[in-house]
Amino acid sequence: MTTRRDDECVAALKHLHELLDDELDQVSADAVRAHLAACEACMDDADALVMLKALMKRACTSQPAPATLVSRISMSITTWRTTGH
Amino acid sequence: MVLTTLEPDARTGASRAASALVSFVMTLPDSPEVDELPDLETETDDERAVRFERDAMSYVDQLYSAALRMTRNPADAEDIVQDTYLKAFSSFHQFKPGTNLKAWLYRILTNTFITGYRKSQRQPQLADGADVEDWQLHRAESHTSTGLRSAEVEALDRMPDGVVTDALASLSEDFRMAVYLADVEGFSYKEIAEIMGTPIGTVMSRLNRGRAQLRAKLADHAAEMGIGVSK
Repeated sequence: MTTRRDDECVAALKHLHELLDDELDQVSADAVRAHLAACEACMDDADALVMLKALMKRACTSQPAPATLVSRISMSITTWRTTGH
Repeated sequence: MVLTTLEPDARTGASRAASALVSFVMTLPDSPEVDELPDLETETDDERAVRFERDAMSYVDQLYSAALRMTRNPADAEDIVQDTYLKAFSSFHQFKPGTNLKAWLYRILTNTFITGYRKSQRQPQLADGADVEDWQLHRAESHTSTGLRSAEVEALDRMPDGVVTDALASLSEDFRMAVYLADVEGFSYKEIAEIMGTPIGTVMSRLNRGRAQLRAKLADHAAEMGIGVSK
């Protein structure tokens, strides 16, 4: 059985990713935030998602490209330029 | 391979006004702003090569890191980054200066990965794991496990980086790339749509499903390690 509260949760969760990705217009964002403030379960979901996003950024640190790769690129471009392709 | 010029970054009113000003200023002689954007009509090959070196090569670490996440091995990552740069250089005259170079390079990288590397790769394709996703979405929508979330957040906070990157690597390619482009690179939905060549709705769906799968995998790992999360 669906309660009104559940409907609100489904509507809020539908836009949660957009809210946290900063892709929601102001009016819709305010509506989702208002629901989050009033619903602990949805706020917990939002917290977990915020953490997940931060975790991704933390774990996937940039790897320096090997020096050999940089020289390979440079050589392939030089070859392309001198041969015409 | 299709290389269309990407739209400029979504602009605010202020920067739109600024670029309108730039195009006005560019019609004036001896303006210092003219140096900002090269004149493609008169640019020599050498000048273009210098500009490419200066502007495009600064993304090599980022592209290599992204390629590592796509291919999941260093040798293949090097190959697709090298191909990407050669393709980018050979079509650099088509790139519109002042538009989004980083997204343009990522688009070439993605195309190179999808059209070249993926066909020949030995690793089997992973299924989308729709069963996990549906279960997870249902769980999220109905709050059947209310009360476990703050423990989950704590567990996530303590998750070792290697576990996170392994979980990411286990996602299907499309989900993995969407999540990486959004969360690590910080691209907008519109940029990801252009990079991946899909509608924005598809990007949103991939992000939703990819993150739900990641979360389920990490929660499983936390439960196995006995930290935080009850099943």
